[in-house]
Amino acid sequence: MRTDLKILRTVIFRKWVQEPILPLVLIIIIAVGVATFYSVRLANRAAVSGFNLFTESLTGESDLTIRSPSGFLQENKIIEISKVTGSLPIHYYPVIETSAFYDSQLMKIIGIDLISLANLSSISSSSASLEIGTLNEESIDFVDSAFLPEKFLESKSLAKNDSFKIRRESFSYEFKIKGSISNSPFRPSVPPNLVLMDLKEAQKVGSFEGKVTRIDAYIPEGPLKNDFLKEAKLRLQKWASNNNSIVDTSGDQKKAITQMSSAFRLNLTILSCLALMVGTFFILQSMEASVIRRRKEIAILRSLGVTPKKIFRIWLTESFIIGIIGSILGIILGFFFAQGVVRGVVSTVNQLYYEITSSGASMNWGEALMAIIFGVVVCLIAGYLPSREAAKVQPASATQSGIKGGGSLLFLTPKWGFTLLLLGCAFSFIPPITINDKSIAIGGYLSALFFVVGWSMFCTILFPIIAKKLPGSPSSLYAKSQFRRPKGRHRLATAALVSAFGMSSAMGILISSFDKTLNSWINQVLKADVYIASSRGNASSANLAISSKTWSQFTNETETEGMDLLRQIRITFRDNNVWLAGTERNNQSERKLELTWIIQPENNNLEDGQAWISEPLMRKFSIKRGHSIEIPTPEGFKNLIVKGVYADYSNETGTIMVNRRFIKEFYKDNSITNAAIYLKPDMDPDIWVNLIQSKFPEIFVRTNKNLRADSLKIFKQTFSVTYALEAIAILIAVTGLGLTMTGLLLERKKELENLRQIGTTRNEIAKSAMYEGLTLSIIGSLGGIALSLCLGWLLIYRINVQSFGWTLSQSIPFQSIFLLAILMLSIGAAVSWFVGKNTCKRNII
Amino acid sequence: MLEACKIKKSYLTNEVLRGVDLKINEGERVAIMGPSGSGKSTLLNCMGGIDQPTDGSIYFEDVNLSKLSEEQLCELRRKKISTIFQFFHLLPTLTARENIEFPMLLESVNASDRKKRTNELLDAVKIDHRAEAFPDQLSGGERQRVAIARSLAMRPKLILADEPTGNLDSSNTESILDLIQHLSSAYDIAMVLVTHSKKVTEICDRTINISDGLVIENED
Amino acid sequence: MINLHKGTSLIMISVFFLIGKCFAQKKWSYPSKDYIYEFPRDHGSHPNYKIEWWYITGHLQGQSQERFGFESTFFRIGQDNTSDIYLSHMAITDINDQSFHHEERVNKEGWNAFSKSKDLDLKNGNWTLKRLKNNSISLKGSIKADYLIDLELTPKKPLVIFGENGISKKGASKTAASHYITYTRLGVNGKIRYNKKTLDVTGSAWMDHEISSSQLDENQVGWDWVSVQLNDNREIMAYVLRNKDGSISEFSKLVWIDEKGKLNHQSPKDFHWKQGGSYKSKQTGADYPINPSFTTVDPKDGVRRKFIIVPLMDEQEVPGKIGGVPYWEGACDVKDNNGNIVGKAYLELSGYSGNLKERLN
Repeated sequence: MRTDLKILRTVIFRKWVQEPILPLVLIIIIAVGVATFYSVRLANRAAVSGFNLFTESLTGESDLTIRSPSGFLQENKIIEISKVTGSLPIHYYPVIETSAFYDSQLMKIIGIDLISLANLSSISSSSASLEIGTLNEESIDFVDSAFLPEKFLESKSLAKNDSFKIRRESFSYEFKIKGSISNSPFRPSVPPNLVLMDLKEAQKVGSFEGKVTRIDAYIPEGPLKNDFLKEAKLRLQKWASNNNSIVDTSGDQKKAITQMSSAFRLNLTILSCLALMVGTFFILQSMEASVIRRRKEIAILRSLGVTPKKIFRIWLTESFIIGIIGSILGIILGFFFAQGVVRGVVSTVNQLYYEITSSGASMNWGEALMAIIFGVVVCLIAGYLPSREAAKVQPASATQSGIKGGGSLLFLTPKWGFTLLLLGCAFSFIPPITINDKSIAIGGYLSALFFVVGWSMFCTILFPIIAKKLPGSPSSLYAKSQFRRPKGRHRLATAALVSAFGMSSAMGILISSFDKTLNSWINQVLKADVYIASSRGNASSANLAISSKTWSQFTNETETEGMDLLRQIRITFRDNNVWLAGTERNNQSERKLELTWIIQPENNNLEDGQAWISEPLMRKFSIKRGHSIEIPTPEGFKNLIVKGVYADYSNETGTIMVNRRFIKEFYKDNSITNAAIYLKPDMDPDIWVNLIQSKFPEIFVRTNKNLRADSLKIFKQTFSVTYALEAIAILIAVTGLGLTMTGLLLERKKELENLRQIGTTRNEIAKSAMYEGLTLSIIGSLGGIALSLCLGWLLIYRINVQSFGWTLSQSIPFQSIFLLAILMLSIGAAVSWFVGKNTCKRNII
Repeated sequence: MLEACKIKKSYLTNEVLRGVDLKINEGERVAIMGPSGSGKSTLLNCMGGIDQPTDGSIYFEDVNLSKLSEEQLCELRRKKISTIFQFFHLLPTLTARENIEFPMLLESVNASDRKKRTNELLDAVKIDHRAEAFPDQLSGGERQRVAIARSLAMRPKLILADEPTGNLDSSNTESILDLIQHLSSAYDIAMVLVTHSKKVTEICDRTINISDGLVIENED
Repeated sequence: MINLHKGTSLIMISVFFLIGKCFAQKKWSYPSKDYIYEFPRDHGSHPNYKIEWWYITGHLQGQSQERFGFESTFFRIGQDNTSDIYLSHMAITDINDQSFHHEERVNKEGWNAFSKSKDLDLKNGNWTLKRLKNNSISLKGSIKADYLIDLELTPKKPLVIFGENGISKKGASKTAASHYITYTRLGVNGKIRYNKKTLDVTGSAWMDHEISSSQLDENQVGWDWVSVQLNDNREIMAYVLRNKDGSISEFSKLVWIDEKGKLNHQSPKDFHWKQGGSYKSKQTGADYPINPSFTTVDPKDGVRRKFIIVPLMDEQEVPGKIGGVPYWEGACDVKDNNGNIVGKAYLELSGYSGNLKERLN
């Protein structure tokens, strides 16, 4: 052990001090790779942990929740429920969660029995019950009263006893501010838009009298807690199964909601590995080069009696140390990256899935450890072969001159590459597997891996072909000659370029295909002139609706030709959160909404007892046309026959479309969440929008043009993180190319000196390096293009379909790919020239 | 042809050459002998423009080498002065033929002339049957023949050879020395050979002994 | 303005503050000598009275000599503008373990808390007190997730009504009085679930039911109260109302209950209460005299007897964080002058912290 450390210190670390650039660059590559991975993991965490049920900031996490799969629960169920658990010590809190607007700000209203809240301090010694800054000691009468967060009151210059007016649909509600809510160290922070009221008061807002969103149940701490919880859950689940209700924990609930973004987050995580993966190639070849350059040293060590095992250990330790240092640096960098990444991810999740109540990436040591392990493992993998190579050096090499061949990487031959390509094709046909209700395109991911490695190896077949095309000159002859018997490092450098180029371009193909599909879909579905919604596109606030009193005022004979109506409700369908959408078309206009059909129904009208489902729903639950599905409603489960399947890119959680009569009849709900208005030809949409908006300030009104622009903006935003990751991959690839060329030329230093000795100028040597680098870049680009086409196909027709359930039209952004290739070639040539020029010293000796 | 006046060369605090004077005439073969560390190879490098003396001047064809630019020195090494090394220093990724051709490529000699000259040289060094082999496929003697052929490619005026037989066995040594002798006479090329070997001095017109960075004697 | 600290709740003091305020606003009934008691109706709630409580204390033992004291209280507090508030306490003294466990809760009248007015049927969360068909009383409760109790209390002696003419006066003011109904001795059978086991228990209990709209006079700051169950099947109930100046109010009382349930009331002239012992609460800072004694003339034989109340554990304070009224309520043994155990008792000491009068008036 001591000998190992001594050798490590003298042979490895001293070399680092003498030639710091190489280890530094390796550390930076690892750091960037780990930072990318870690920042995405933190952002993903924020997207999940940032989602708290709003009540948690007040009460902490409940032990059980009772809710209805069809939305609201009848309040009087609480009497039955409390009888079911009898004398078990369970504290029940019926909760209303609803929304309203204060000016234009969306406020989340929580209604809960404020007096009963006091009991939470009895439940747990560590639980702090609600802290309210001030209380009107004269009364515990909470009629027309509300409590607001301290920060909100400060920001709006409001105080106790001030009036607080909110609007919901076309109704206005006025409350007196009774006090403030401050943060508790034992709870998630109070969301700044929270409004707390007594249950009865909150029920008034939106007319939810007699209804609650759910009932939370808490069991006190103590040695019998788990027993009580088990008993209670058993009894309640039995009750629930006979009463159209669901019992789960708040953890289950959060999981069900955050599950909605799981495919998105998983794909982001996989993408984040891209940088590290590309970096692995370069780390491997750099370490290999380093071993070969130090072959003499190693031979001397061997001739002094150091065993091969020790050599292997020492060289692997070098990899390990680079991995550790790089990974730790990566964690620090990653934390800072994460602050930017989290904004992108959270914004996307907010827009598409659910509202995140607290955001900001915080350091997570579990994820940090995972990222460090990942970085170290990558380094160890990269260092394994070179370390084995080092161990194989014979003592006799100490006396030999010249540098021996290409090392252990020569297995990266086109033959192996072709084999992997075949495997990739085979794996692409494997169907997805389901883990925890999540569909994972395992075949697709493995296939992608095989394609990446396969193409990287296979395209080295192009070495002699491309090399032949170089112009005839001493510089190009010398460059060409390198590819007759290409070294392992050449193959690796090419592999890295192919994978970086290929993966980045594949993402480009995916994005371009999305763009095309989305544009086409938008053109198809957005036919109306004006679109009205009860709230901004934020998925969580969809319990806001527009009453019939309001929406009936949208149309009149002079201005409008017709109106399509939609009422969306979140329901639990087969343990998943999906949308139930009631639709009604009242359009006398010739322009009609046309859905894009995956399975076209026989009849274009949606009749009673029928449903159309979205493609993601079809794929998630393997539902076919003609199947019967059970829909939960306040009046029990209703069966509907699936008649058609349509494309829907607005969400991947799935939608069940029914006639709006279904909603009216079984939900007793005549409100809507969306309307599409067809104006008369002479009506200016912008003017009409202004008129309606001024009349109904709390609803969202957009012209067709604006809505398209907004939709596409959201789409671009969702890919903003992807673009960043692509750029990082290319950066690493190009950095790696410079590293490769440096390594190769350093290794051939003596040769370069010889060239100078026989009269070759520095410029000619630089040109030769440039040709060599250019050859690698060309092959990298060509191979990358081939890889991108394969990966693009895989992403569009396999991974995307299996993860999100969407069918996309393929679109290849030839221009972008071409530009990327030019960029790669230019940078490759420039970097190689620079390295070549600087490797030759002014003085030959 | 070549005159070195009071050549001094130091590396940091180590004075390797302490004031060397010598002359090389056209067509003559001169051996430079001396113990290890006497400065022989350093002197050779200075003569070939590969290294710069810290003091003194070297004139080649009345041109002071220290006054030449990098480009001019390269040109000199391509056309007028070439070097043969103990360890051959062939480009490992080029074949024997390509190694020989390389200096001609640097001077943009056209393809047919290049081919002709290369074949001539391959024949001259008796290595034509191994023209397409790579250096790692050749024996030591064969490699040195290729190196010699390469050094003749541009018909230099002066060839500097640093221990040309230092890495060869005795039979190869003899044949290489014969070759050197023959070619230098045939092409009227001056040669300076740094050596430990008495055999090398036998093919030379005179021997210069160097010790401790100074010329001790100049023997005929 | 009230600043609330961590661990205290929204309702800390307001519940009781409200009472005073409401007094001015709503017309509440007061105990009157014309009141006609009717049972089981009067076991139930009296909504026209402002404050009412059902109070059970008792001693339990298991089959293997496990010993417990328990207390369960249900308060109903009338409101002017909103529904009644129900404040309840439950406490268990595990004497073998020398540990004290308690829980407090508050709910407003509704699905989770109510008291029926036609019979004894109370609920506050999962705590219930209900008269059964066989005239026994079911008490079910819990203390956090530490204890679960399920007891059946069977009256062993007739119901008694304390005070003259059915009114128990607490002060000179007309309103400082209550209707005070008590089962002085109930046999108990039931189960206690704790420490992952369920224990069968038996024992005896005492149940008070007081109905009033005000309790204390201006001058009074609290009381010391004891219920004693002697081994000879007789009981003693005594309360000493403490004045601001440290003296004892003339309205303090001691009542003997004989084997047949006949009452013998004694005024402070006839009995002498002496405070003793000290337990200083770390939580509230109150200093409780937990080892009092009293002398009284035994109506059976006219002999003056001395009884010493010996707590089975010092730390039996209910901090009253929600109600804002801390008090000490503990299981005790009763010893005679010779040191012999002659019975069991529950001692209640209130008003040693804060201002009880303000809370109750």
